[in-house]
Amino acid sequence: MVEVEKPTPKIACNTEVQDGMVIYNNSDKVKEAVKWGLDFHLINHPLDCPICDQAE
Amino acid sequence: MDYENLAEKGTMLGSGAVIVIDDTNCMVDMLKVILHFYHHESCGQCTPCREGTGWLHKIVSSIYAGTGRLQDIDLIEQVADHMKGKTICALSDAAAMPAISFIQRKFKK
Repeated sequence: MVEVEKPTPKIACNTEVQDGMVIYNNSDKVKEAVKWGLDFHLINHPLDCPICDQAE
Repeated sequence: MDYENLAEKGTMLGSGAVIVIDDTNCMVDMLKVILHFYHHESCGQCTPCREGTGWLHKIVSSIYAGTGRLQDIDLIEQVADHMKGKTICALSDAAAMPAISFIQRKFKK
């Protein structure tokens, strides 16, 4: 998630960069959105990063 | 009842389909069915939609079964708020909006 100079944060994965765009990637709104993104991830995902097979 | 009028009132016409129900229908059941539909239809690419629709469905199902908690009212609103605008397509917005509208109209007049 990043925040562009617009009313609401925009998703970084599907927002095309344009000339003159001002991007904030560490504002409070961004941090909150990232925190919720992680919350959503961990609902149904085990938290076993040190022993996860996918971490190789 | 056109796009502009409804947009002014804070709602959307969408595809133009209207489902008419009477007051013998349980609204919690309605919301549960809607959320089950969106959870099933979610393609799974974006985490807020894939997980959020399932989470909302689970919360509302527990309310319908009589095992809901008081915190669930705020939780539904928070989860739905953080699903909106955070995905590539609008399915998660479409699932979140009835949930938010339900909470605000039923519980927070």
